[in-house]
Amino acid sequence: MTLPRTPIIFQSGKTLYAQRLNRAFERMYRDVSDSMDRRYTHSTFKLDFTGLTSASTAEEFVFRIKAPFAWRVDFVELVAYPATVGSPTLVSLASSMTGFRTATVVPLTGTSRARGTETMNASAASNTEITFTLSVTAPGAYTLGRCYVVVHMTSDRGNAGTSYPKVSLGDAMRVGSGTFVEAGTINSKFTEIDTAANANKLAIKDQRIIVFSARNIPAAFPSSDADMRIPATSSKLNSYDVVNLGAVGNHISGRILSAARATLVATATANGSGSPPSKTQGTSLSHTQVSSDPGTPASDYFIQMTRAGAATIPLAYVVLYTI
Amino acid sequence: MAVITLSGVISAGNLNTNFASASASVLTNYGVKKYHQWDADVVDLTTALAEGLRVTDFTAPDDLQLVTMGMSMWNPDATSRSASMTLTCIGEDESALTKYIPNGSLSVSVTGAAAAEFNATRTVQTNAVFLIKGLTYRLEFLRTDANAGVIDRAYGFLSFSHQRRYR
Repeated sequence: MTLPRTPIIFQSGKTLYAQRLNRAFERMYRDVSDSMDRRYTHSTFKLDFTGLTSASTAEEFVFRIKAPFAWRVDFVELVAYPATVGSPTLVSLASSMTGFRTATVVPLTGTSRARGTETMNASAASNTEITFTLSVTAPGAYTLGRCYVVVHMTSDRGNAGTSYPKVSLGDAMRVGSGTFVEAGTINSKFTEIDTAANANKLAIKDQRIIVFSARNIPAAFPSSDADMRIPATSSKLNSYDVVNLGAVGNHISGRILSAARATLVATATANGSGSPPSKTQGTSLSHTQVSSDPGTPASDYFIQMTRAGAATIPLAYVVLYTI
Repeated sequence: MAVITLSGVISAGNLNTNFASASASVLTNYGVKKYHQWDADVVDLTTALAEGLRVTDFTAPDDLQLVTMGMSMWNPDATSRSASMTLTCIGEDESALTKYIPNGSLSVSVTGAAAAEFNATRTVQTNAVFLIKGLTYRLEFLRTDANAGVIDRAYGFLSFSHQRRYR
C-alpha cells in the first residue's frame, strides 16, 4: 500500500511561489487518486446443493443472482462428498456469466470429500440475472451427499456509476506559473480536492453478495433454522431478492431484521408457483449498519425466512446485496 | 477541520490549515478496511453425525484478518447439550497446516442448559490472526456432550477485515 505523501508546509515571511502551491496540490491529488484506485473488494458466497436427487426438478439445481452492481467471478470451488444413493461420475457447475469456466468434480467414495476448482475472469453487468446451475452425471438414480459451491467474487466500486465519480484533476491542479495567483483559483482547487476526497469515501464501502438458502423446508419451519447473522460492518444494505420453488400456496417471506429481530423493511414475499420459481427481486433497503466493528452484536442484522402453506418447499433463498 | 476561504493577502497559516484539512479527509479513508464474512451451519447435530455434514471448507479470497468468531445453537428440550465450532487451516492439499492458525486452531463453544433455549456466544479476536489468501480453511462443528438427542441447529460465523485492492 502506498503511504500518503507528506504535505508541504508553508512558512510566514517567505515568498509564495505558484510552483510550490502546484506541488502541494498535486501531492494531494495523487493521494486521493491512489485511494480511489484501491476500490476493489474480494469476497465469497456459498451455494448449497446438498441432497439433490435424480428426481429433483431442474430448477432445484439452479441459483439466481441479480446484483445491482457489476461483478466478476475469479475462482470457484466445487465440493462434493460421496453420494448417499447411487454413484455419480461427475458433478459440474455452469453459469450464464460471460466467460464462466465450468467447474467439475468426481465424487469420491467412503467419507472423503472431492474438490474441484476453476480459475476464471467471468463477468456480469449490473441488474442482470445470473444463473448458477449444477449438473450431475450418474449411471442411475442418485442422491447427492453434502455438495456446495464457494464463489469467489470481485466487485469494483467504480462500477457503481455516478455515485462514484472518477475525478480527473491532473494538470488542472496547477494554479498558475507566474508571480501572482488569484485567491479564487486556489480556493477552487481546495474545493476540487474536497469533492474528490468525499467521493473517495465511497471506495471504502463493500459490494458483497450474501446468500441464505434452505432446502426441503417443511410445513413447520422452525425459527431456529430460519435465519442468518450479518455481523455489524459499515456496509450499506442495498437490496435483496427472495426466490421460492414452493408450489402454489406455499409462500416464502424474506425479511431483514435488526439485532433485536425487529423487521427493518416491509417483508418481501415470493408466492409459491412451482417451477420456474417465483421471485421478488430488488426490494430496496437503505440501512447502513451503525457500527463498523463486527464485534458489536447490537449492530448485527439478520436475514430471516418464514413460510406459509403445508407442502415441503424444495428450495428457497434470500440474496442480500451490500453496497 | 474546516477549509478557510482565502482572500487578499494569503497567510501561510491559512494555507497550511487548508492543506491539513484535505490531508485529514484523505487519511480518514486511506486505511479503512472492508469486511467479509463466512458462515456455516449444521442441522440436527448429533454426536454421531458424519464429518461431511459438520464441516465447511473455503479458500481465503484475500488476506483476511479475523475479527470475530461466533456461534449459536438451539437446544430443543430439557437435556443439556453443548457444541463447539473450530477453525483450522487445511492448506491446499488437505494436509494440516497448523502453523497458519495460532496453536493450530481457534474454537468457540456454547452450552445449552437443561431447557429448550437459544444460546449464542462470540469471541472478538484481540490478537492479530490472519487467514492467508489462497489457503483453504475449515469450520467444523462438534457435539461436546455425550447426551442423547439432537441440537436443532448450530450456526457459526467468522467476520474478517481486509484491505481495499487495486484490482
